[in-house]
Amino acid sequence: MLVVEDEPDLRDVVCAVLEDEGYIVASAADGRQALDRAAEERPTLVVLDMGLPVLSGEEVAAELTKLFADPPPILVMSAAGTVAERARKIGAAGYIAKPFDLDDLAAAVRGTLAAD
Amino acid sequence: MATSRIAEPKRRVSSEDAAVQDVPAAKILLVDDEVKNLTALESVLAAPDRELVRADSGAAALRAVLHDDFAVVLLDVHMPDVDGFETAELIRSRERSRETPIIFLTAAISGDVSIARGYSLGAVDYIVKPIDAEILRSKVNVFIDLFRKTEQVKRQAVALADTTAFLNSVLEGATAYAIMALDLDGTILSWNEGARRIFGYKDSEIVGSKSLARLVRAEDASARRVEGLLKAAREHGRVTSRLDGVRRNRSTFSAAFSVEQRVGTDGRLVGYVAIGQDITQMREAEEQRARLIHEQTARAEAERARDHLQQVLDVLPEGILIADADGRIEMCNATAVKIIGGLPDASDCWAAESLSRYRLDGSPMSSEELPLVRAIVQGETVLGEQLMISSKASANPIPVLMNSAPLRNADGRIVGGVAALQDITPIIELERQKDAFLAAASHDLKNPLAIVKAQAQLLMRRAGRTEGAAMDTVLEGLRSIDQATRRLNGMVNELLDVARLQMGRPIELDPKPVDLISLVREVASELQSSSDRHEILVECASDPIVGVWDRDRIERVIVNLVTNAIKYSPEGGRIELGVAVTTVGDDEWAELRVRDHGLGIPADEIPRIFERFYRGSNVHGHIEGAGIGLSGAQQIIDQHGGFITVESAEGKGTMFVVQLPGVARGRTG
Repeated sequence: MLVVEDEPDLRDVVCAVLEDEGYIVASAADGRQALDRAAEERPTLVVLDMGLPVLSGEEVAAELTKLFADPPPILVMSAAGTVAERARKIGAAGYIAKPFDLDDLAAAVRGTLAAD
Repeated sequence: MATSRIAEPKRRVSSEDAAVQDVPAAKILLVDDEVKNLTALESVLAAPDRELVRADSGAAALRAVLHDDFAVVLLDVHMPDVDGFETAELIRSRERSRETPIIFLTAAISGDVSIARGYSLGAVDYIVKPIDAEILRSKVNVFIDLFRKTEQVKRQAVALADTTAFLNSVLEGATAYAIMALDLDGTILSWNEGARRIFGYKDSEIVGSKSLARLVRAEDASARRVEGLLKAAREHGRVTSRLDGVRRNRSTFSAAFSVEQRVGTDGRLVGYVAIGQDITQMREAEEQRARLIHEQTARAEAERARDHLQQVLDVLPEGILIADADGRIEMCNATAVKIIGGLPDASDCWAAESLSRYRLDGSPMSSEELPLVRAIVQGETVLGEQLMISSKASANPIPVLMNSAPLRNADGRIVGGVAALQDITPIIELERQKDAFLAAASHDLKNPLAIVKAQAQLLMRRAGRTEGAAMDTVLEGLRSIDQATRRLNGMVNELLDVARLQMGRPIELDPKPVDLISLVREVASELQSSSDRHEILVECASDPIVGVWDRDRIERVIVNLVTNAIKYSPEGGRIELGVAVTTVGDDEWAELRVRDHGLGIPADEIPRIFERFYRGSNVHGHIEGAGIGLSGAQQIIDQHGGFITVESAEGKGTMFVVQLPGVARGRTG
């Protein structure tokens, strides 16, 4: 799966958590990178931070649907209060608010993969 | 027998009368069988004012009188065939010459018989030959004079008859006027065709009677208006008046009368002339003119008022639209034109073609939802509706605030509506800026928190997998980091909420199923530990009360109310929390009561306690103020669709009641 997050320490820890859970994880620091990695890796899930520079989370989501006939499900990660609404708007499969419990993150990932 | 004339020019004879007539020269017939006598007569009588005609026999004389009128005939008695007397008889027997004076010329008065015979013919005289010229001339002159005077009188009579006939025809012809001649006491002597037509009476019914009174209304007659008019005419010569006339068929009409004196040749009053006119048409024309002027004035007034209104409206900073009941936009003021680009076509119902309107979220708004349409169609007064409008004037939609109200006529029926538009682009922009700031603040605060939390938990996990006593310390440390971050997160959330409330922005609720009872118990036990002078009691049923609410925010409200209760009972005491379910119509609401027995709130301050920056005046000393406050609590409850109310009495205590809708039926936990 692909973790898209601009905050480096947070990106590291999310990747570490997911690896801990047993997933193979790639990462990207901004929207541009995210699309490139997505094209390369064909992830089964994209954990997408909404507060990205360059391309916004919405734009990345839109590009992903253009890129793939069957785009990967998106788990939206956001600090904003509107996380649920923004997730719904871009058609994300799930959302999680920062800061989160690791258990909740793991559960959200599992739930998103299962729903897909 | 020949007659000859001495041609005489006609002379004009002037008379006192206005008629100037040509009076023909007097003719004199000289009858004698002897020419020399005729000549002699001519020489005696010739004068410029007469024409002498000769006749040399009785027959000739007869022919002459058949032809002309003579002033006098001089007749020789002794004539061969028809003698003078016979001639005279014959002359007298003709109608035309019956009165013609005859003077017999005789040689001698021979016997009474002749004379008597002569005189029996009438209008004769005798002159004995030889003729005394002077006597002859003077006698002839007398007859000529008489003839002339007679002719004059005849001509004057004819002229008078002509004039009379002319005047009569004028009077008769003046059918638009009723012209009546009255005598001194008002008796109608005569009246014209016009009077007949206007009043409808026959001559026999009116003329000769004192019936002027019959021609006017009974009230006017009994008020002696007619006599008054006559009197006024007597005194001033002429008087005019408007009175209603009454026709034979009892119908009335507007009339104007004038009464004039009739004065005789000696200057004395002999009667009156009354002239009346049906002025109904004239009156109607007058009234119509007055009405037209009135209408024109009214119209000018209305236009002036309209212009004034337009001026006032154009000065307003809001755009004003006025529509009629059919959706036609009748009027835009200047600001509205700026916002929507111009007055829409009369055919453009609700301006649907020229204006596109959207809700704030960008979805199109139908005409029925427009505040102006709701005002007109449903009589709704709509205030503070926000929407977006785009038109020819603006490529992009403009956010506007629209207030609308229906316009009613005197019967209360809706005849149109008015909308006030305000371009709120700067306000919306400010709101967007606030939202952007809050998003940024949120992002900046939450990211480090997320790192701390995640790292701590990760370390905990890894440490948990490793055995050893040193790990316990690490575990403990990490646990405390985790807890601290939890608290910090709570504070950050509250701080962000406070910031939102201070900025007047709504809080974004995150509703999830919540058991209110367990939440209340948690808060109670946590806050109980912060004060040992107070006793916090929870009174509720054992069944859970579950609703879909934002747990953190509701918790904050409860914390706020209980903390207030603690603060406002500085002496200590009991604080009672009651939770119950109430039924309102078909819905079940949760009700939370927080009661303290402390200072209470002064009555005049109770309405103000939910204001944003309010602080109670009756609590002395420093009271910490961080937190959402009562205004924040009210906003949170408000956004849930609920209510907070307060009852308080100074010195007795305060009770807050929170009501939340949406308790799940069946109330499964």
